[in-house]
Order: sequence, then C-alpha cells, then structure tokens
Amino acid sequence: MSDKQLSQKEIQALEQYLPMWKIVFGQFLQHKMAVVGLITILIFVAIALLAPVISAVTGLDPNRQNPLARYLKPGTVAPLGSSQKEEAVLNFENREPQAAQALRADLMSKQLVQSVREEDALYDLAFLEKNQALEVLKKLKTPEAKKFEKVFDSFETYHLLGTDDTGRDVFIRLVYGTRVSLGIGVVVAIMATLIGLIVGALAGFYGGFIDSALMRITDSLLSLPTIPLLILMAAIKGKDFLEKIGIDEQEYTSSAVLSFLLENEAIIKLVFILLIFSWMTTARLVRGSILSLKEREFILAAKTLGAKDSTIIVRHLFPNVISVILVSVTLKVGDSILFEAAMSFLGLGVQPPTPSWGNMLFNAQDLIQEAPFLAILPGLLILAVTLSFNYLGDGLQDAIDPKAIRR
Amino acid sequence: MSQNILEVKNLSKFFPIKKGLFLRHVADVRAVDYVSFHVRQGETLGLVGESGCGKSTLGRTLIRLYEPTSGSIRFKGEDFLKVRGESLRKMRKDMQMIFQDPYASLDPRMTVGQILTQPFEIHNIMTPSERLERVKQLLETVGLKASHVNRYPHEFSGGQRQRISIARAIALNPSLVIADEPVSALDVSIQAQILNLMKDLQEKLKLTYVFISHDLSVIEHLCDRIAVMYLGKIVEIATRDELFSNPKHPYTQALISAIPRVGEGKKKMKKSLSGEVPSPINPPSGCHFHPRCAHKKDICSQKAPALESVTGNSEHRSACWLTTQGGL
Repeated sequence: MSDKQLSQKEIQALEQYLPMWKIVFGQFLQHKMAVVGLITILIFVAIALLAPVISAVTGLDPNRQNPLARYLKPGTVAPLGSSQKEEAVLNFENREPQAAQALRADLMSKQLVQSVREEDALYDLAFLEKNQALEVLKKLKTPEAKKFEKVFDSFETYHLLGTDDTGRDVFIRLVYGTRVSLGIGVVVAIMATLIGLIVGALAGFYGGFIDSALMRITDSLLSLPTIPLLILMAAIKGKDFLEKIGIDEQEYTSSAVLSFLLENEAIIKLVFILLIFSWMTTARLVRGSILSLKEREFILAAKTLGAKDSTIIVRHLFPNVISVILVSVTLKVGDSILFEAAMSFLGLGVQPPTPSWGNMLFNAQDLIQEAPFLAILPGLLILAVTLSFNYLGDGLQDAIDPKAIRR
Repeated sequence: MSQNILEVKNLSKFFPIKKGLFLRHVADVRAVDYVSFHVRQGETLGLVGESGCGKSTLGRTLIRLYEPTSGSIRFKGEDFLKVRGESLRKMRKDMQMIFQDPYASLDPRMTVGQILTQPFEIHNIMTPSERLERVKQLLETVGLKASHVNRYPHEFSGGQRQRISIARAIALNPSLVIADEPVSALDVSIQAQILNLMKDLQEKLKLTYVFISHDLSVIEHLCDRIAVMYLGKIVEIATRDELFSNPKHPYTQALISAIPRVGEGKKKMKKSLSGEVPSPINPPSGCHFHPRCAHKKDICSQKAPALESVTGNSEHRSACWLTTQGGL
C-alpha cells in the first residue's frame, strides 16, 4: 500500500497550508477526554445562564422553604405548607379576580365549604384534602372551577433530587449554585493567572531589583496565614468602608456601579480575597520558565534584531509559557471552587440563602448519615467541573503545541 | 586597503562573582580581557580558540548582547557603545548574529514565516504583503522553498534551521554578521553546505563576517584573517596563509599541529599541549599561556607580552616574548 507513488497533486495537498486555528481545532478534537470536558463545561455554563428559565419552567424557587418536606429522598412529591397554599390562592385571585369572584359566590351559595365569610371560601377549599377539593370543584362544572383546579397542581412539588434541611428543592439550588460556583471559579482562575503572569514575567525578565521586590511580595503573601486574614477581611463591611473613604449613602445609592457592588458584596469580596491569595504560585512558575527562556538564543536573536522588551515578552515569552498558564488556569478553577466552599463553610463566603455548591456541601455534612445525597450531589458536580477543566486544559495544551502537530 | 568597519580597543567583559547574603563582589570571570583588533569591510575575520576561551562572549559583547566592562567599539566610525535607546535599535539593523544552536535560536512557537517577518515588523518596514514576498525571496536565497513559510522550526533538519537562522540575519541587509559557531552543531556534509552558502551570500550582499569557531579547518576554509584567542586574550592575529604557514605563538603552533591531516601518522603530533586551561577567574601571572608553554622563560611568568607586530610583517601580530620586536 505504502509504496504507491504519490502524484504531484497529492504531494501538493499534503504540503498545503492550513490556517492555524484549523490545525489547533483538529488536534483538539482528537483528544477525546478534552472534548467531553469541553461539552460538560458548556452544559454547566448553559445551566448557569438559564437558571431563571429553569426556575420558571419547573415552578421551583431555590429559596422556598417547606418545613413539611425536609430531607426528602430524590424523586418524591411533597405537599406545600399552608402559607404557600395561601400565597398560591392569593396569586390566583389577583390574576383572575372575576373568576375568583364567581367561584366564591358559587361555593357559598351551594354551601360546598363551611366558610363564615365569603372572602375565605377559596382558602378553605384550598386547605381541604386534594381529592376532596377536586370533587367539590367537579360538582360545580363551571369554567372557573376548571381554572382553579390548576392551582391544586401547584400545591405539590416534585423534588427530582430531594430536599434539604429546610425543605428547599435540591435540584434548583444546585442549578443556581452553578452560577455562583462556576462564576467564582472561572473569574478567580483567569484573573489570578493574569496577575501571576504579569508579576512573574516582569520578575523573570528584568531580574535584579524588580525581581527581588516582586518575589519578596510573593513570598510574604505565600507565608501569610490565610484563614485568619480571610476572617479579618470578610469582617469589613462594604458600607462602612465606603463611608470611611468619604462616600456617603446618597452617593452610593445613586451610583449604579457602587450599588451593584454593594448588592453583591459577599460574592465580590470573596472573589477579591481569593484573588489576593491565589496568584503567587502562577507568578513563581511563570518566573521560573521565563528565567530559563530568556537565555535561549531566540530571545537573544530578537534582541539583536532590535526588538523592544515589550515585543520580546509578548511575542516570544508569553507563547512559550502558555502551557504553564493553561495548567494554572485549569487547576485554579477547581481550587477556587473548593476554596469558595471552605470559605462558605466558615460563614465568610457566599451567604445563605444564596446557594453555592460549597455551602450546600458543607450544610450537608451534619446529616451525612440521614441524607447522604445532600453531600454527594454538590460533591459530584464539583468533581465533574474540576475534572472537565483539567481535561480541557490538557487537550488545549496538546492542541496548541506546534511540536505535536501532525500534518 | 579597504577601510575598517569595526575597530575594537581594549575591550573587556568581566562577569562578577557575588557571594554571601550581601552579594559581596569577590572576583571576576575575565571572559574577555583587554582585547584589541579591527575588522575590514568585506573580509571574514575568524576567531578561534578552545572552549571557554571567551570567543562567544567576545562575539556577544561586540553586538552588545552583553555590555562591556571597559574598552571601546567603533562601528563604521561611530562609537557604538555610546548609542542608546532608539538609535541603538536602528543601528542594530546593520549588525546581525547567527547563533550556534539552530535548535534554540528559532522560537518553537512561531512559523518560519513569522520568524522571518519579525525583523521587518520590529523596524516597521514594508506592508504585510511585501513582507511575505520578501520572506519567500529570503527563503529561496538561503536554499529553502518558498512554500516552507508556514512550517514550524521543528519540522526542519539542523542544516535547514541554520539556513533559516541565516535568512533572519540577512533580512535587514546588515553589513556585519557575527557568526557564533554556526556550523559546530551540524554534521560535516551539512557544514560544508552552510559554509558555502555563507560564502555565496558574502559575495552577493557584500557582507563582512566575524566568524567564531573552535574548528581550525572550518576557519581555514572561510576566513581571510584569523585571530587566535586563549583565556580571554588574542594571542596571535594574521592573514590565513601567514598564520597557517608561519605560526609564531606556541599556542597557535600547537593548535595547527593538532589538525588531523590525511596521510600523517600519530607520531607527527609532537606539539600537542599538556595540562588544562587555567581558570579565567584567577588567570596565571604574566603570559596566560606560560604554565603550558614548552618555551617558557623567566619573564613569561612576570610580565604579560603585548600583541605586537612580528618582525618583517605589520599584518602579523603575536603576543609572545619569543617573537615580538624588542622581546628578550
């Protein structure tokens, strides 16, 4: 087979130029696990973005507590508490006042409920057993009654993944937790790597005083005890801080940026704190590889060509440390999600009731015997996302390595 | 006689050795130790010497990859060491370098096209499409195919890479090219190809070479004049024929007699050297070569000989008490 002579055309096809991105993409597709990882990550991103839609479609609310339905097993149906039933009826009355009015009058006149006042009729009906109430409505046979039947459907919720210690639906909390956990993980990983890259590149490239100064800062941050400092920083309140630096309430409520910051204070503070403590390893790794790279002859060649320092750093050094950077980003996503979990456990991170995988995981640990699923599910998601990012990084690293290009 | 493109006077490069917590300056590695020579327009000056004698450091100092400790370099009549910043970048166009290791001198993450376009990008010459044309032209000049532009360095053999390296060095039409052992990483048949390419280019582009090598036969093939270095100093400098037929310095004599010749037996290697090269941190007193010299005299360990003309030939200079005028 192989001793077949290649025609001129075939040789040309083999030597033909492919654009860089096509080569990289082709290489990436060959890395099966990386593709799986990428798809997994994209699914999680979609879930995070579509969380409100999922909530609307399923009628689940991540913060709705239900004391009657604590620690339910996955796949069970739970009745709502009385206050939620009242809320549902009230919603119905507000939505269709005429239907409600007619229905009330019917119920009173036919004496199907034992209400003293007409206003209470629907509520009393709602508090009956479901089957009983539905029979009552069937007797009426009016279109209004049909409409009200639907309200009863919402009196039960289907908990795909069970409920937690306050009866909240685990599925929808995991969906919303994706937003927080994935968001924090990705933002912190990318920003920390960027900071590390810049610090490491400057230190490695310029050496001397700049190197010593930057590396001593890095070392001192590395040697600081993380947890006590985190507690200290988490204790700073955003509003107090703004007032200290002379911005009063009027100003920060009128400024869109500041009020946004204050609304999401816990999460932003967490991102900030994680950033401060997670760029140092990258800086060291980058510095190390730049120290060895800058003595390579292609850097000297660029210098003799008259290249500026910035050109050398951006064109020659960065592309050659990209594998370090990819490893750093992908590892940091996992780290940051876990770190967020630890912080949330200490009560310093994402504050309940906002769900994050981290605080769900740690909430679950008291009752690991009774409700193991509460711990297993967020744990599995953290595992899946972390693994996916690692495989993605692996695949990208292979894909962009020119030495691995198979033409 | 053509004019000097490069004049070097008392050039030295010492690498400080620092020790202890406060980085106390304890000693220097005297890599280039007060060296003076000149290079003429259009010629090839060979720098030869054994490993660690400072040839590469001298080459890199000439092009200011290292800042010299002292001395002066005049390039085309201008004081090259006084130039700074933007004008230094401009001047660098005129002075290029070919490196020893073709595997390390090309950025593995760039295609050949990107590597060769870089000189033009840095100096902002021509439009992108003109650059591509020029790059293809350069590739053909050095004996590669224009279709190679989109390949990566690792897809080429050592010899081909060195051709790319040469193409990069001549891209900006320099007048001086410093070649730092450009063929020592290649096998012999490829060496000849690269050397012939360099010779052709020299004729075509009116290049001046400073050719650094430890291989005397390569030097003999290519160079018009040859400077022999030992432990940071030039010990002898002469035209090629003069140096090979009439070496004056005992070190040069030993080097030349060490070249293997076809048809000669082992017994002819009578001038071989004994001992090791002393440390450049603490070089021997007087003449640096005296601990290994067969003709050593008292004065050799006391006073260093200057590089002076050999009697009867102003082109031939040697730093040895045996040969210099007024010596002994």
